[in-house]
Amino acid sequence: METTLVPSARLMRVLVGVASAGLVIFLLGMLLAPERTWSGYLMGFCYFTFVALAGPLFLAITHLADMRWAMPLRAIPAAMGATLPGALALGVMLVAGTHALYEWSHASAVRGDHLLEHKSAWLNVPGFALRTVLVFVVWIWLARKLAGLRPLERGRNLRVAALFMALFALTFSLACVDWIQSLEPHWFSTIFALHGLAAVGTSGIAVCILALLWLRRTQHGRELVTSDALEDLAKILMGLSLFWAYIWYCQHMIIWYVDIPEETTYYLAREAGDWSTLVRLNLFVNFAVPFLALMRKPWRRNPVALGRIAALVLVGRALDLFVLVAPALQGSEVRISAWELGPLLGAAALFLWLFLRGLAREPLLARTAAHAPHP
Amino acid sequence: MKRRHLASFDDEHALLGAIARCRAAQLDVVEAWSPHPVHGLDAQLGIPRSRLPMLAFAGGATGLVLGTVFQYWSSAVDWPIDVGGKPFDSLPAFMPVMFELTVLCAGLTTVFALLARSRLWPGKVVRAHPGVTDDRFVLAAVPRDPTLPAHEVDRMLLAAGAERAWEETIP
Repeated sequence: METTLVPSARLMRVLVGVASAGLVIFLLGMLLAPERTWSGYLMGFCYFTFVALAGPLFLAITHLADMRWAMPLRAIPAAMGATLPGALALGVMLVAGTHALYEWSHASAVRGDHLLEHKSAWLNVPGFALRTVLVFVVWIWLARKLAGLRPLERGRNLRVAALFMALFALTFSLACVDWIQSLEPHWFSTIFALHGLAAVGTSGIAVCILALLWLRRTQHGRELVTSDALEDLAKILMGLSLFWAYIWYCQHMIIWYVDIPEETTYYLAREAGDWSTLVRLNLFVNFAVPFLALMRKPWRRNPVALGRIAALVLVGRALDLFVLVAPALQGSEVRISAWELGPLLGAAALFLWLFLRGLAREPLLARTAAHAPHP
Repeated sequence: MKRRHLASFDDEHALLGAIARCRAAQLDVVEAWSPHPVHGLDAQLGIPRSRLPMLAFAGGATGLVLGTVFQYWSSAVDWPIDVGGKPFDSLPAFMPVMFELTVLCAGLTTVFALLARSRLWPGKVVRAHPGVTDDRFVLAAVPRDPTLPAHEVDRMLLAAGAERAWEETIP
């Protein structure tokens, strides 16, 4: 028995509309407010890439941990990973924005600045462009391999999954440093990529939960995605939110405690003016709400409540990116306008459109895989 | 001396399916063991919702309060020490201990509540059914009609899908 979910033509038109609007705002912004538009573009690009990366990451974990319960559902992470070429296209475009975004890309800013001169061996435009393309080539290649694995070829699956994990850890850490951390090139944090990993995990599991809730509209989906399965996923979401808060606090605590001027600049910028409100809101939406709401067993098992929490987490991920990216570019004043939101929403719509198209192409549930014999 | 019948299964679906069949055959399923949590088993056995999470929450909350109050008292009230010019009552510095004590107290409460509720203590000899910590699923059933002969009960259990069925006496 196979189930395929085809999204309504109206939904797809809305998504294309939002993505196109994002593109128009982006192009207009190039002329009117290039710096702010590029910051929105970077957020949109990271949002898209992080969610898409959750796909191959979950597939690799599924194989490495022999999660046979998740095998019938592997079409969902596979479709998430299949959107990576779209993220690559956005990443290639991002190279054009290096001058608007990154201080280190200006020769005049680097000259005479001891730290930036020292870091210029890594932080330079050709290197940035090359690395951005290279990490995507690795991810797309392995995401395709992971999506094509058959549950029964256990030895080969383990090798591909382990290779992905090793390369992902390296490439993703470097990519987080390149794309986000180098916005403030004098500052560094060795835990920074873990913050990105927490973002990948929480946004990815939230998208999986919403996709599974959508799947439950079919008879077969309701049989497979029981309230017990929903509760397990809710617990994973809760755990990952806790992980994000833990990493957030670890970075903050060490810098607060040691109090070295070159490290504290990061948090001083985020405690100035209205940024402190946004930082608190970020902790509330991304930690307090999912953690406390998912403590209630009935809400973990209730599709409506769980769907709302997952949707809120996805909004929270955008807020988290905003607090990561924007303070470096906007200074002490918080500015949220169409220039920031347009490209961000456009990229999110583009992801959703590609994701739903990918889901519709393949049968969602392969029943045979659910009862695969023990290897 | 109580008598009950045990039946072992080689997967969870067989165990779940057998419970309904046992009921239909006038056998009360009184207990089940499995190597991992089985979705739906609690409901099938009619076990009410566990109160363990409430105890764990109370333990965690106690740990959180203890960790906060003790650190505040020791570093801001009883013996203030200037550390790097930070305020004496610095919440960020207290958080690791608050977090660890929450987890520790919640964890210990859970473990000891579980031991107490299951009447387990060090040195107590518990007979585990073979395979139940590995890959076997076992249920215990008592016939509603006590005069039913043992071999008949075993036959019914096998008919319900058990790979093996036997009678046991518990002191």
